[in-house]
Order: sequence, then C-alpha cells, then structure tokens
Amino acid sequence: MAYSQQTARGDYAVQRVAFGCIWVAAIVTIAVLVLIIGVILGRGLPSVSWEFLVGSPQDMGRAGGIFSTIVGTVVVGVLALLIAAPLGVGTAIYLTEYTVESRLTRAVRFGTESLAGVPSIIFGLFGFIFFVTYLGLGWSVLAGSLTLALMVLPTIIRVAEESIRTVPRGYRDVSYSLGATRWQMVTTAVLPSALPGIVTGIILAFGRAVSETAVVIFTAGTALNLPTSLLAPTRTMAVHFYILAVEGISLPNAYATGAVLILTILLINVGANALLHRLTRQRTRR
Amino acid sequence: MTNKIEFKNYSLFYSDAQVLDDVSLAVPANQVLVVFGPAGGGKSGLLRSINRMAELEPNERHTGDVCIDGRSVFDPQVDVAALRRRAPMVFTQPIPLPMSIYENVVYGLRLNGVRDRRVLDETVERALRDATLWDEVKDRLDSSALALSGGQQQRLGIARALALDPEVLLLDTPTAALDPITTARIEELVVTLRERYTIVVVPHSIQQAMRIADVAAFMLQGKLIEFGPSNQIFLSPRDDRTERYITGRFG
Amino acid sequence: MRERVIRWVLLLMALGVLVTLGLIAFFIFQSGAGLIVRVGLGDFLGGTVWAPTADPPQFGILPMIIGSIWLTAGALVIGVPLGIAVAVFQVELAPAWLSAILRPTIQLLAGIPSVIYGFIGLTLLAPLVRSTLGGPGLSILTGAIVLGVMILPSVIAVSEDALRAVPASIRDGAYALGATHWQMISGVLLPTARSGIVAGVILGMGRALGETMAVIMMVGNALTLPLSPLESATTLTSNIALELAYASGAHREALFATGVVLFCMIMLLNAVATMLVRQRAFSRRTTS
Repeated sequence: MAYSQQTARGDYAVQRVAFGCIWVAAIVTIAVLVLIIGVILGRGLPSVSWEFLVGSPQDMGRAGGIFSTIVGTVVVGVLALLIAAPLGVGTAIYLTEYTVESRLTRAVRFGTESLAGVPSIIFGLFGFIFFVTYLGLGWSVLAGSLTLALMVLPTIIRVAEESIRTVPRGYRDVSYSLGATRWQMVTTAVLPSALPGIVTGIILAFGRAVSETAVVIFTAGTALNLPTSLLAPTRTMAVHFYILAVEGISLPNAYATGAVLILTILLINVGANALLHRLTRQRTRR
Repeated sequence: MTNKIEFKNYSLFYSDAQVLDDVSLAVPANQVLVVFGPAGGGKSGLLRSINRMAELEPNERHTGDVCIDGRSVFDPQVDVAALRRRAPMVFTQPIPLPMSIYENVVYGLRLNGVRDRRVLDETVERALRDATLWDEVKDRLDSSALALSGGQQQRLGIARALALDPEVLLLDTPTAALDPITTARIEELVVTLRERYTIVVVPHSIQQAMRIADVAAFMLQGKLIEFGPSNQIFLSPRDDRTERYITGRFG
Repeated sequence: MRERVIRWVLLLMALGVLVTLGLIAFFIFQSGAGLIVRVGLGDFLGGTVWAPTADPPQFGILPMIIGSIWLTAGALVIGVPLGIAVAVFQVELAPAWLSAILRPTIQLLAGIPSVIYGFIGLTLLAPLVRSTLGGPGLSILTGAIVLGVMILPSVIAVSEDALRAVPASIRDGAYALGATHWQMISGVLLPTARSGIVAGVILGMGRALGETMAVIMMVGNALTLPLSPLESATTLTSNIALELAYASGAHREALFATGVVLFCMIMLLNAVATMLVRQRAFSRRTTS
C-alpha cells in the first residue's frame, strides 16, 4: 500500500539530473563536431584559392599550393581501392555464396576482424619493413597503396558481406532454377542488388584512405614533387598537413590544407550517403 | 505413353533428416502429376530432386535414382544448368527479379548466351502469351517487374520458365499467395500447358489437386503412400491413409 | 571447369586476409624479437631509460608504457561516460529529428582524420590547459581529452547495439513494477547490456592505445616517466613514429621491438572485445 504512494519527488529529481547530463552529452558531441569543422574551415578557407589548389608547394610548403599532395592523395587512394575492392568483394562472395560455415570461414572471419583491429602505426611499420625494405620498393606510391589496401580490406569485406546477405534468398533460387551456374547466379542475381551497399562501403573506405597518415608517411614518403611513376615517392594531403603543423612551417597553410582535407572528407561522406539513398530507391521503387 | 520422369527407389537426406524414403514412381509425358499430402511430407523435396535443386541444400545426400527420358539426372555427363533449363521451377512466392518485365523473361536465355535481339523479342512475346500475361504488359515491357500485382508476378514466373522452351514444368504451390480468381486463371493455364509439357505440381489444396491432376501421388512423411490416375486416387483410394487425408480427417 | 577455376580464385582471395595477418605478425616479430632477446624482456619492458643513441645504448620502454597507460586511461575516463550517455540518448531519449542529426554527426566524427584532431589539440586545447592548469600544455591531459572524443564513435556504436538488443519484455518488466524511466535505464537496461558495453569500452581502449599521429601532436613527447597528467609524455606509438625515420641499426630494431609489444597488447584487447561482441550477437540472434 505504501509503495504506490512512492515515486517520490526524489526519484523524479534524480531522473531530471541524470537526463540533464545525458542531454548535455549529446549536445556536447554535436558541439565538438561543429567546433572542429568550424575552426578548421573558418581559419583555413580564407587561404584556400584556386591557385592554392593547383599550385605546387614552394619553399617546403611555406608558400605555393598543394597540388602535388592532392595528386598524391588521389593516386595513392584510388590505387589502394583498386587493389582492395576486388579482393574484398571476392572474399565476401566466397564466404557467402561458395561455402558453408566451417573452420575455414571462421578462420577467415577471425582474420578479418583481427586485421581490422591492427592500429595504423603497425601497418606503417609493416609496410616499411615489407614493401619498402624487403621487397625493395622504396618509398613509393606503390608501397603506400599496397599497405593502405591491406588496411581497408577488412572494412570492404565486412560491408560487402553485409550487403550480399541482404539480398533476398529467393533471387538465388530463381536464378538456379532457370539454369544459372553459381558464378552466373552471383553476378546476375546477387551482386546487382548488393551493389549500392558495396559501392557506398568502397567510397567510405576511400575516405579512410585519404585520412590516413601514419601508414602513408612510412611507405610513400614525404617528397613534395609530383609523383611521376608508381615507384616515385609522394606526399599526401594528410601527411603534408601533419608536417606543416608539427614542424611549424606555416600555420596559415596548415589551416588551409586542413580545410581542403575536411572538405574532401565531408564530400566523400555526404556523397556516399546520397549515392546509397539514390541507388536503393532506384532498386526498390521503379 | 513413355515415362517422362521416373523415380527409382529414391531416398533424400538433408544432414540427418530424411526427407524422402524409397520413392518409386513414373510420370507419363504430357500429363499433370499432382503431389499432395500434409506438410513435411517431402513434396517439395520430390520436386527439387527432379531438377537437382535439392543438392543446393547443405549436407544433402541421396540414394537411388531419378531419370528424365530414361537417363539419370545424376549422370556425371549431365550439365546441371542445362538440366534445370529443361525442367525449370516456379516457386510459391512470386519472386520477380529486380529488373524489367522483359529482362525477367529473357533471364534464362541470357544465362545461356542468347543475345540475338530478334530471338529474345520473339521469345518474350511467345512466353508471355502462353502465360496469358501478354495483353496486360505488352505496352510496358521495360517497366520494373516489381510494379506488377501478385498474380501477374506469378504468371511472370511461369513465363520465365516457359521462355526456356522446357520439357518439364515444376510448380511448387504456385497459387498459395494468390487470390481465388487469379488461382483459377493459373489452374486453367496449367491444364492448357499440359499439351506441350509434362507438369509436376504441388497443389495448394486437395480441391486444387482434384481440379488439375491427371495422375496423383500421396506423400506422407517422406514415403509414397499411393500413386495412380487421379480418378482412382481421389474417388476410390486403395490406402486407408489416403482416404482419410482426402476426406479431411487429418491434414 | 570455369566454375572450378572461379572457386579457387575466390578461395585464394579469402585466404588473403589470413596471409596478410601472418605476414604482419611474422615481419614485425622477426624485426623486433631479436633485440628483445638481447636486451632481455624484463630490462626492455621495465627499463626506465630510453637512450638508443647513447654509448652504451639503453632500451627501456617503461616511460612509454606508462605514458600509453596514462593516456588510454584518461581517454577512457573522458570517452566512456560520454559515449554511453550518447548511446543511451540515441536509444531512449532522443526525439527523431535530433537522432537524425546525431547519427551523421557521429559518423563524421569517426571520419575526421586523426591529424586534424591532433591539430585542434595542439592549437586550441594545449594553450588552454597551460593557461588554466599550468604545466607545458602539451600533456597527457590534452591528449586524453581529444583521444576521448576520438574513441566516441566506437564506444557509441557498440553500446548502442548492446542497448537495442535488450528485449522489450525486460524494459516492460521494470516499468510494470513502477520504475521511472531513469530507474529502468540505470537499474535494468544498462546492467543487461553490460557485456556489450564492456566490449565497446575495450574496443575504445584498443583504439586509444593504437592512436599515433594525434598523440604526437598533443602529448609533448618527453622521454621522462610521467607522474601527473599535466606532464608531457611519450607513448609506445609516438615513440615509434617519431624516431623511425632517422633510426638505424640497433635503434631501429628497438623501435620494431616496441612495435612487437604494441602489437601483442592490442591484439589481445581486440580478441577480448570481439569475443564479447560475438557472444552478445549470438545470444541476441537466438533470443529474437
């Protein structure tokens, strides 16, 4: 009897305090993002001009633009994805369509999750030991791309597997019953439906590749010249930003480079989500 | 009358579960075989064994033999994909592929490498006409198949199968998801198609079975209880269990 | 025939992950284990002096281990409560419009390059810390705050999953006994989701431990044993990254050896986290 009288004001007071804190946490999270983007873009965008984007760095980055770093970023990133995407999607296809759950699939999944947890400095170290030194590639676009590819591989595998699993089971039955081989079934009935998710995942993986610094600095080097071949060293935007900031070369240019970097990430994120939205709508409505 | 399909002492296992137990029957050509019985009787398994879809299940094993036109479907020289094109299947749930109506119908042909636009066009018209869908969709062949009604999608599934110019049609409870009017249309369709194909159907109900069958097989827990011409099975069944199922005493 | 070739190709691709993992482990160990053996594991891990270019060189990484531990602990203190709070917010309290804003916000926070985080710490936070709390500014505290924000997305994601996995019946049970919303959350929801949340925490721990670039920019890189959060310090990761470019011979080996220690620590943490997550997911699938 006494219990039903409870729910004392005390309890509700505690709740108000607790919820207040939680609301603060949520606001703080949004505020932090706004702060970071606001500061970098605010202090950096004024220095970003067309000349900045297409001009080459001069005087170790004190003056001039960041063109060679943009090229370096794009080349290394695209190459990394060109290597990782087929490997990752192929692995996902194998795990979902070509085997049943077994010791092998569990081992591969374990490997994927472990690889996903390896910190970037270890990848950088490995890339340095294996690609740069052992295989003799030197500090090069190729070494950087290969190492980056290995780093984003788990992400692609995860995303591809998820996408493939969302394809309705019936599509496989229909495809087989009309005389498809397994590979035909995969390429004509499963992959087209899984494509939106896979493509989004690849674009987001590209975003990760663009942001990476520890890996690239020890595999692709820090040379400011335009990379002329796969074996030439190069500097990516993130690395350039790091060097400008840490070595105190030029604060305005650091901000400017940071602004371009953030804009790129924003573009990639927004673009990927918009693309996913559009592609899935196309598939289900039409 | 030659036997189109024959089961010889055929048993089917999915892992440790036995789906079919020593089934032997023969289906004459150009007849409709109806495989009926309570749930879990192995009816789908029987169908899927004809075009070797059963082996897509994990840990599938079988003993005995299944023959089409006297030749074992398990013969190592048999191309499984080609076999399935000879005996395509239509499923319970209409499953249009996420493409246009046109592409759905020619899907099987494209898998087989057919690219000639004229051949594809002709096939699409023939198959859709045979499935009694042509008049309804002939003006929007390029629109998405997902926009069709349930009944239309199921007839599309049949058209897909017919496009392959098969010899056998396997229909697994094709009208379970459809309304009575559409069901009647599809039953009519099945009966007319019999002239050109051998059809094996798992019916939705006993009444449907009686309406369309030429020969019938009663399956109970994986065993073939009784098999024979539809008149005999439905009007004067020999086995007690068959009689009780037909009269609705269990099911 | 063609089908068989395709199957083999795909199998080889799938094995690629294992091959990569094996190569990484092999080469890292091969490059660093030798020095650990020569110096002795105890002296390596427990030695307080890191002077690789001195004569004789000394390779003690205790300052770095302590630095890493301080920094990770600090990051957890900041990031875990914040992360769990946001996760609770998303699952229990957020109006739809705010939730829709928060989701891409968290995704973007995860996508911001670590060097940008480090830069913000360097230019904004460190001076603030120096002026209000004293010390050099570039300190463990600065690093912990920023690192705490960096691990937010991981903690939030896993915690959110864990909270959403709690069946409605359990929540209803609490309400039916007269619990307020908060009492349900604190007394029933959070405890039930505990193992999933712990997994998120461990994941965050691994991330904090492995972070390099941001740390270098914010933590001061002093080689002494840090005794307070206001001091500068070096972590295992920053030590490797700062010296690798110009190290040679035994010095370089010592950096690889540091990598070995780091690799082992993080792999262990990740294995624990993965096990917890998998346990959660498995039980969720069997109960729903």
